[in-house]
Amino acid sequence: MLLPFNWLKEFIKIRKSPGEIADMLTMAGLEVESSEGSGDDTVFDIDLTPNRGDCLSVLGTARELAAVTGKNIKIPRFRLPSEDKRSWIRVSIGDRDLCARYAGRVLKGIKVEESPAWLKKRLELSGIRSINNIVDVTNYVMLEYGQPLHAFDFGKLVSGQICVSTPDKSIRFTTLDGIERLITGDMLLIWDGNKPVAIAGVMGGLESEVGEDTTGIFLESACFNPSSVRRTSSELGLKSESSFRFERGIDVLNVDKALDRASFLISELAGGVLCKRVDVFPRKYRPRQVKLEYAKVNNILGVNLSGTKIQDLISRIGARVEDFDDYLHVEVPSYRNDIENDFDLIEEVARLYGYHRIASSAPVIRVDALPKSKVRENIKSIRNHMCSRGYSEVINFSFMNPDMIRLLNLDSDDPRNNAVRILNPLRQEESLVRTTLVPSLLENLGYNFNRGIRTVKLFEISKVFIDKRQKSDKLPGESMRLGGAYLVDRTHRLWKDNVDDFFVVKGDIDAMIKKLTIGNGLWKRSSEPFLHPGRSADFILGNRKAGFTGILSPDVLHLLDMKVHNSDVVLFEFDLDIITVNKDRKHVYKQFSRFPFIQRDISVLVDPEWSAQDILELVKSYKSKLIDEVTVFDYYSGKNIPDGKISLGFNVHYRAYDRTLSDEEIDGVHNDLIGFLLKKSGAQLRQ
Amino acid sequence: MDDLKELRKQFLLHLGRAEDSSQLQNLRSRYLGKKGEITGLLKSLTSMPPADRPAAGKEINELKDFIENQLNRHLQKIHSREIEGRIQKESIDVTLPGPGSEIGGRHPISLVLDEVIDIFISMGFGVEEGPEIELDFYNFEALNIPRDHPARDMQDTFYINDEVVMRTHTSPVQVRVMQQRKPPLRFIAPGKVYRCDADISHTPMFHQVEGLMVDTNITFANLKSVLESFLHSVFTPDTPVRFRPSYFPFTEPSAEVDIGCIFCKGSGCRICKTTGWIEILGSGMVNPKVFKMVGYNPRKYTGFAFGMGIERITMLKYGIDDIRLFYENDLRFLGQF
Ligand SMILES: [Zn+2]
Repeated sequence: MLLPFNWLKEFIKIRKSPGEIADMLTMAGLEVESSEGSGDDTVFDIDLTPNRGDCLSVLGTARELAAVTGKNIKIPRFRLPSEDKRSWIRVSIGDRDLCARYAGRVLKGIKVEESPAWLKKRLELSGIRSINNIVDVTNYVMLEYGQPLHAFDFGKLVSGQICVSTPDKSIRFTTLDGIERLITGDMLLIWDGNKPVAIAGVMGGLESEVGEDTTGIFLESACFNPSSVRRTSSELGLKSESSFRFERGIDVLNVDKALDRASFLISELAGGVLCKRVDVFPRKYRPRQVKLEYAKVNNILGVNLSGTKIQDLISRIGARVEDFDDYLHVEVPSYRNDIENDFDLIEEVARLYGYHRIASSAPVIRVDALPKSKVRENIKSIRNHMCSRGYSEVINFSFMNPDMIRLLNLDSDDPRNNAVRILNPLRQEESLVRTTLVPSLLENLGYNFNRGIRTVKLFEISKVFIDKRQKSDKLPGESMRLGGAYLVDRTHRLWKDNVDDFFVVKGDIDAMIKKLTIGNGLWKRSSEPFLHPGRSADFILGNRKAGFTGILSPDVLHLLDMKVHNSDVVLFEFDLDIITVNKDRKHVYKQFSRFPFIQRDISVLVDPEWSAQDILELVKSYKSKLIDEVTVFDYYSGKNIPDGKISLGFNVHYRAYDRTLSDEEIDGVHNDLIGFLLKKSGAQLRQ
Repeated sequence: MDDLKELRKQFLLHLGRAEDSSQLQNLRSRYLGKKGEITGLLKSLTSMPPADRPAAGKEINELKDFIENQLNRHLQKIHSREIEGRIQKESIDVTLPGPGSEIGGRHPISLVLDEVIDIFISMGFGVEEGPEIELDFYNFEALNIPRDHPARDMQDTFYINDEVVMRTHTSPVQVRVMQQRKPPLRFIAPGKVYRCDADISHTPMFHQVEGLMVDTNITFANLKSVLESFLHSVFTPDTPVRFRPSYFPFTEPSAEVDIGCIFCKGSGCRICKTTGWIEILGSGMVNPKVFKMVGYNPRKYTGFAFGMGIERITMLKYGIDDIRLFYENDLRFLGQF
């Protein structure tokens, strides 16, 4: 809200500078965002919180300043000219819940013209465009008193009967801005007989607009229901200074005063005759009564204020109070719609006493050791692991581009197709919620690679969301994921080793899995449709797929806008809900043997269906307590090997817990192991 | 005994020519081996008259010792020369970086989130979580933000449908936790939140940390103390902190918390819009209406709640002047953290 300082000074005696006043208002909860000089005046821009509709005026701000300083406000006086004894119009309220009070006055014989300079300037400083003297006065009084007003061209009102009610069925109505709008049955209208002339509290109609040839007006000052105005205005997408104030609640006892103030100003500026005021106020206004216990004030705020002090502070907001030893009876003033209960009054006490005067005091707490969250610890350790392996952490918006998910060629029954859709996205590219981190990571990869960065190693730990597509589940499934992307330019690597990038990344993952000590998982060929089928793997833990890693399929890479030569894009994604939750396995020390070991190598030729992991598992399944460790030390296919065969070399460590083994004993066991292996796998021994 | 002199001369000549340890080994066997010259001489003593034997034996043994010594000394010399050569040959440029020496950067948001969480853990707060796609009920209604209330204007909401929204703040976690547990409560809830808003100073997703403390005797003075203590830890102990009245539907009284501008030290600059203060936190005493929503007795329990934006704190801590940098994920930015 823009508020000229000189206008404020008409309502309260101020000796302090605009800067000092701005500070006082800010510290009382009326945040002055900026204060700018303009000629001999200063304009405050006040950011009012939605609860303080009462301050949306010069009067309201002056009242607030008076409460802060303990001074009184002075409302400029005026004298209404004598009026015509007839009102020339009748008013009826059809729905008392939606309209608590409706006052109005006909002014005849007026002259519509340009407003005087002083009026134009006040409006301009307040950010409102001048139109003509009539409309300008309604705006001026709204700014001054906080009461929205509307002037109808009286000549266009034909029935002499104003009615406030909702329509029986949807109708079309053209507002002042020339737009035809659909009015539904729950929107409150002002009717001239059976013809709608305004949307109550939101905007008037084009037909009854005050124009140059208007000679009489009907001036409306009413109190409409805040929720109703808000619903109507948001459904129509039509916000006005008027609806803004009604939504926040206006002072029902101020309706007639504002009407008189506007009538006075119009008669001053446009001449004419004032007719008798109409004022329909069907239900008697009863001020809200609140009981405020002194002890509660002190208990909530952590202060020790006397009853007298509290009484003084509360009276400053204009409330009538009565002291009953240990509590205060408060009659809330009509303009403070926000004060409903004692907590609201406690806030008033704190505010006017000054937050800065409430001394900080550390809470007294029971000391409890909190259980450490294993999942959080694990996520922390994954984060550190990935960083120390050279991956940088990224954070992306949780949105997903529908085109990017299409790029992944997912099967039609893949749950990652079940993305949550946002009704009002900012951009089409951000209309889905992520079901996988892959699309964002590919975008990050492209962004960095296309800017000349040749080592791009990224990871992200964020949630993905899968719509369950069941009515009973209103919320989607959320699960925490670790995702990563890797692209390192081969030609500019210092250490030209020949390790496939798949294994470089898999090594990073394997190390992470070891660190998490989640037990034995297995790798198997991946079926992810966007990965290279021969160079990708899924990690299976128990019976569940915990994640995948692999080289991006060449046809997907082709579709991305990235010129990658002789290097591979590696992706991975893991479900952290699976890999960070170890089922409270007891961590117990296991004894190791202190006796010497004997080692033997085995080299076998196997068919390609057999993976190194299969053979290792086979060796481990061989029943001998003497096998201490088995490792793969050779993997080869090509020259000197029969076509279509793979040569695998294993190293076996034998060791006993209770004695030193002899070569003879181990020769026996080892030969038996070889026999077992060859029989089970159909492998040949390589000489 | 001229033979011995001759032999000594001949040995020294051979020794001079020996260049590596294998040649020295040959010399050793030639002179001192089982069939070596010295061994031969010693054997020949038996054919000598007994009277001459001691003197001759002494001389032969002296020569044997001499040869042995010379061989050992020479061997040592050759050894060190050989090692030297090997060392020279194996020398590398030690200034090259080792493979895998590059470490990745932490995202500054995640770094500051961890720091904030750790500070609160050190003050005895637990850590809770809640869904990011949330029911309208938890995000608004239960927090005293009814459907037709102007307070909804404070947050531009992404809607999934009539009942479901992308959560606009971390405050719904308060309600979820209170529904499940009884006081005393002391926890924070960090996480992502969403607003339908994107411009130079807003991103549609950002991070918040919510906090809640509920017990039988929690006061506004406690709220001030906890938040001051936190701000002094996350910034510096001499950072000025001020509380001013504000409005949040779920707290009453509500307070906005400002810190003295860390750029101009309070004298006024562009960042603080010349006020000398920077808004950093929203807070307040839990509104009894929220307590009633979750079935707590507001006459028995009081509490405070607060919420802060992590992007804002991160920008202040690292002097980052554009919020959009956080979500471009440019490695030249991330690599600095
Ligand atoms: Zn500053």
